[in-house]
Amino acid sequence: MKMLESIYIMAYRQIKRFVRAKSRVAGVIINNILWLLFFGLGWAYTLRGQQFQVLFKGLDYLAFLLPATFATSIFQASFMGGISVIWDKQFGFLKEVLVAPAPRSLTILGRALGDSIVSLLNGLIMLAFGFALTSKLNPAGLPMALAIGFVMAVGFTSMGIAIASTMRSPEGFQLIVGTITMPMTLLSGAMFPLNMTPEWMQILALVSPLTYAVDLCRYFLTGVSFLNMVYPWLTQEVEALLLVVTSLALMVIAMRMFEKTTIE
Amino acid sequence: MEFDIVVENLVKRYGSVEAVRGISFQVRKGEIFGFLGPNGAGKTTTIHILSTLLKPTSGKALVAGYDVVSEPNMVRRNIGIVFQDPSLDDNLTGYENLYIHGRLYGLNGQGLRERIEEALKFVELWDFRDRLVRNYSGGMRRRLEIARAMLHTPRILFLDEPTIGLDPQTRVHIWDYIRKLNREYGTTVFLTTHYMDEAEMLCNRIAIIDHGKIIALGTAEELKSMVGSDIVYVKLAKPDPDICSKLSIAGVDSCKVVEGGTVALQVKKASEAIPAILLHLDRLEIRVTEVSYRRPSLNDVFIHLTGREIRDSEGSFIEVARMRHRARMR
Ligand SMILES: Nc1ncnc2c1ncn2[C@@H]1O[C@H](COP(=O)(O)OP(=O)(O)OP(=O)(O)O)[C@@H](O)[C@H]1O
Ligand SMILES: [Mg+2]
Repeated sequence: MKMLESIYIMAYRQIKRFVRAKSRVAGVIINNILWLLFFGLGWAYTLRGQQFQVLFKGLDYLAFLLPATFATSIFQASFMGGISVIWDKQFGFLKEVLVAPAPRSLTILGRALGDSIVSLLNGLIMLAFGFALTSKLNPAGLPMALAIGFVMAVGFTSMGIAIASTMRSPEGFQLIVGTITMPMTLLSGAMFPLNMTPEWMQILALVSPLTYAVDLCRYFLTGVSFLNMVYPWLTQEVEALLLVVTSLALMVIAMRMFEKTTIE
Repeated sequence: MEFDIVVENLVKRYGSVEAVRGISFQVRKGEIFGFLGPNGAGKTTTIHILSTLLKPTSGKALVAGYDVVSEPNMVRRNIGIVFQDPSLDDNLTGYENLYIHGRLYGLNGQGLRERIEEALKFVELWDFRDRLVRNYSGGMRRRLEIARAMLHTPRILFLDEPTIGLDPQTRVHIWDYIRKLNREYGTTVFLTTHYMDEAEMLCNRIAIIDHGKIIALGTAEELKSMVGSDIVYVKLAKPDPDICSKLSIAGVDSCKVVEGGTVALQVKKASEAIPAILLHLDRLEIRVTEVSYRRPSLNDVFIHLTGREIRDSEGSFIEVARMRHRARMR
């Protein structure tokens, strides 16, 4: 009971803070709309013809892109969420948490869960626009997509927290987030089909857990998996397993790293 | 147990900087104990070690009977702390800040709600409970931090410069809370300050700390009796570094040149010593522009022990810089 308590209260705080920050909520929604409009619709019109549907295994570009954007937007929001650890360092709230008798590994877990829920909401908003823009998404796949979204959110929030635990300045963290987020998003197969890319790029993509998350979300929402077609051993079960394992590993790393944070 | 805090030979080094250089002291149960010292003396470092946020380089510290290094969780259960720098969540309300704190310390339900109400009323913030902390004044934040630190009724309360940067009225207010807390709940209080009046008004016993060392420890009365007697300040028309050698006359126990050509003389009884001193200086044809005297203060104790003022010019500069920093963080 006591354990759940510490997890719950930190999750509560993260969510409460997010809901309070109206400008942040509005910013997320506006960002999503702009991305879908200018990037999504732009390419959807460019790749309108029948001949392109072959590239996307019968999907049109919007149906190809939207499930993946659900995953990448969760990825970006989760990873960036680690910055609140640095803000807490700067504004002093971290000391309040560190001096409390609640175990640090649990308070940080609660924090990761809270931020995960926030970024999942973020992804949901994106997906709501998706359902409005195309009729090709399968609502029955939604629960699985949400589950995948949550697992990856926990993993990437943990990654953000682990990195933030070692850093002092938000600028430094943003720099790191920027340099990691961009290649991972591009390599994830969210915007172009990975099976068309050179082999070395595919290998790089397979190293990143985001690639699996994108492929899984696309599979559950449209029924098409691009990885499975190239690598028959990469079934949905294997992909899900890889994702869960990496997320758990990242979570344990974040707990360890946070235990070691000092105020020195 | 007789002592709530026992510290033996505590040392803390940051790289090559030795912030705490082997201090030892005990704090009795139910006592208000003060660390008085100038900027950079090592007060915050000591508090952070005692509250398990920093590991000491060497030495031993027991808080509430538990070792701060090997049993940090037991120590954390027994203490409350108000940090020198702000540590509230600005984007939450006063009530929410206390609520989260309470849950982190294992309180919940009706019990927690009652404690929050009691603590907020104690510091007279109940009416502002639903306001975002971002919109609190500096004094309100400090009071909220005190309410938060006492919420889980800790046995020992640490206060790191509780009234820094507050106006005189608010300071008196906060002193009242601290006294009341100590009286009504029997809380042991360990506080640091660089305000002499604060140490004198609040503390049962005071340790004077400078450059990481305790240079004196006792009640305010005991400390002042180290200086012993009255202090006569004589301001010379022309600064004279050798003045002390010329002033070795009967009745003058010690002599120290302080800044601006002023000499501080320790005497048994100022009213009798002043005419003798003036007569003596007149014979030496040393012109005096000003004479004053006072009963010794803790500042004189500090000067007596170190030859410096507790708030030298560098110190106050640092404080101004820090206040700006705090203001910017809000
Ligand atoms: N993280 C740190 N790294 C290196 N040196 C530090 C660190 N923290 C404190 N110091 C140094 O240790 C010494 C003691 O600092 P401390 O903060 O304990 O002093 P203090 O008595 O609390 O002073 P103040 O009245 O300014 O709060 C100072 O010389 C300070 O510069
Ligand atoms: Mg300090």
